Order: sequence, then C-alpha cells, then structure tokens
Amino acid sequence: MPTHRTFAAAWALAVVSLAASQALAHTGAAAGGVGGFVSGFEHPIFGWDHVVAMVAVGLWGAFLGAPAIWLLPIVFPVVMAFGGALGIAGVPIPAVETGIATSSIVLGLMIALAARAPLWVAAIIVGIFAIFHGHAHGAELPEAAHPVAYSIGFVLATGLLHLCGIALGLLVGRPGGTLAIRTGGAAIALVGCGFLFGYF
Amino acid sequence: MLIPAILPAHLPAPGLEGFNVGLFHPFSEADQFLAIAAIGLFYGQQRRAAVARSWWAFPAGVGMGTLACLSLGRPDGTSLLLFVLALLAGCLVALAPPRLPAAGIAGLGLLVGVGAGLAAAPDPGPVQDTAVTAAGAVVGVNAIALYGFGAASWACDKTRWPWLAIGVRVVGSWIIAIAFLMIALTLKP
Repeated sequence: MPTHRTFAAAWALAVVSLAASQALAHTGAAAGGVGGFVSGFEHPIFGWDHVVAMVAVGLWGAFLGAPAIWLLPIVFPVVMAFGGALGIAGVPIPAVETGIATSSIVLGLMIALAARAPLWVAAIIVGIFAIFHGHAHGAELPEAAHPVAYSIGFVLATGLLHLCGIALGLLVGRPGGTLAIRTGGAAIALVGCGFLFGYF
Repeated sequence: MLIPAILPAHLPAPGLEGFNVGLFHPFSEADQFLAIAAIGLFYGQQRRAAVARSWWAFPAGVGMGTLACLSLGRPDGTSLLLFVLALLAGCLVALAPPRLPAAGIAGLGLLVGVGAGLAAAPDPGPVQDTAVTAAGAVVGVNAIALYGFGAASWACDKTRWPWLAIGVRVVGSWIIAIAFLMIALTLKP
C-alpha cells in the first residue's frame, strides 16, 4: 500500500521545507540585478517565505475541498499580479516582508486549526496576502533584464508551488492524512513566525 | 521564448529561412503567444456547436490583420492591445462561463486574430520575401491557437479527469497575471 510511502514523502518534504536557511528572494538590484525566466522562476522557489505561503494556499484549498481547491490557486495569481502592478508603479505598501511572513502564519494556522472558512472568506484572506507577495515580485520587475520572461518565471513557479500544496493536501483522504496536514500547517505557521521575528 | 536571444523578428528573409522566421516569430513574442494561446484555450472550452459556428473568425482576423499590417503598417500600441486581449481571454478561460453565444466567441476570436496578424506580420521588404515570411507567420499564429484549442478540448471533453478542465482554468489565471503585469510595465510612467 502506498500509504506509508506517501507519509514518508510528505514528512520528508516537510522536513526539507523546514530546513530553510536564508531567504534569498529579495536580493534584487543590490545583488547585481535580476534576469529572465530562470531568475523569475527562482524568486519564489529560493525564497522560503514565499515557498511556505504558496504551499499553504494549495494545502488549505485542498483541505477545504471543491471549489476552494481550484478557486484559491486561481484567485492568488490574479491578485498577486495586481500587487505586482503596484510594485511596478512604485506604489509603496508598508511592511511587505511582514505581510509575507504573516501570510505563512495565518494560512498555516488556518490549516492547523482545520478552519473551514466560507469560500468568500478564504478567497479574501488569500487575496490580501497575494498583494504582498505580488508587490515583492513586482518591485523587482522593472529592473529585470527580461521582464516578460521574469514574469512568466515567477508566475509559473507560484502555480507549481500551489500544485505541491494541493498534492500534499490530497492526503486528507488517507488514514492519518488530516493529522499530517494539520501538523504541516502548524509547521508552516512556525516558519512564518521565524521569518517574522528574524530567526531566518 | 524564455531564453533571451537576438531575434530578427520582423525582417522578411528569403526562401525557407523567411518562412521559418515568420513561423517561429509568434512563439517568441510574449504578447502574441499569450493572446493566441488564451484564445485557443478559450475556444477549446466552448461547446462544439458554438465552435462550429465561430471557428472561422480567428483565422479570418489573422488574415485581415496581416494584410492591414503589410498595406498600412503596424500601428503603435499593438503589443499593449494584445496584452489587453490576452487579459480578457484569460479571464474568460479562468471563469469558464457556460453557454456563450457563438457571435460573442467569434467576435473575440476576430479581435485577437486581427491583433495577432498585425503583430506577427513582417516589415516591408522584397515582395517575395515578405510574402513567404508572412505566410510562415500566419501558419505559426494558427498553430499556436490550434495547440491551445486541442489541449483545452482534450482536457475538458476527452478525459475522465475533471481536474484537467480545472487545470485549464488555472492556466487562464496565469495568463491573466502575466498579461496584467505586462500592461502595468508598459504603462509605467
């Protein structure tokens, strides 16, 4: 039976996710500038504050079930683009990094507490945090050598991280799966706290 | 498309090279690729009866746009227009409204086709080279649309996995996001 292997994979991913060292996402122009697709793709992937939040969106959506399982991964990139547009336009949003860290905490707690929020509430929560994530990506976009490829890169990476979360969230149908997901949510919230209080 | 390179995008070239330049040009320009892929996905989501009555609009628009560009030149703002159309088509793909009228589907197809034709057509040059490059561009544009149509049609109708149809809608949201960012970047003061 695949159950134990599925558990092992999920726990391994959880451990790897928690073994984050340094959030390297927002080096931007100060580190020599950003480039094209690879740079954009790496931006959410190597920024663990982004990774845990994106996985949490997919995880929470899978936990809530249809239609949240697909609505949240649709709402997030759209609103993220709006936040990105604000970043491009130079509209300041206060405490972007705090908002990103808080997104992990809130979404992680939602999962850990098995909060079955109404669909519109979940969409609003996800949408609010998407603005912070989008702003962080968008602020670096005008400096990119190839802004189009950079945009495609980080949008794709974001979507794939959501898919990872959804895949993990499908464990809810397995024995012990709910406990595993809620534990993962707690871990995500803890990681968010680490970012918020500067431990990472 | 994702690997930056120098592209002789709009210059007509002789012979088969010219056809290839035109053919791959829409694949390498994000504004064209997004809009055309979005309209292809949109068509693929629609009912067969509606597609049967409206499929002609996109290739007709491509022809009209190509001829207009060759005759009158490419208007400023074509790229922005295509990103706006990509945003609109992406919204429709993500929302997947049921039972759209064929006239509306055709209208959107025509608009995107005209925009794609305007953008993909080569700059003026020797008549034969221009014609060959333009022919390649027309084939390339329609190929992208067909790929998108085929993928969405297969995902929505031909499989027993409903999550594939949802995946098409998620791709629509990605198109929205990228197009919106590109519009913001274009309009940035």
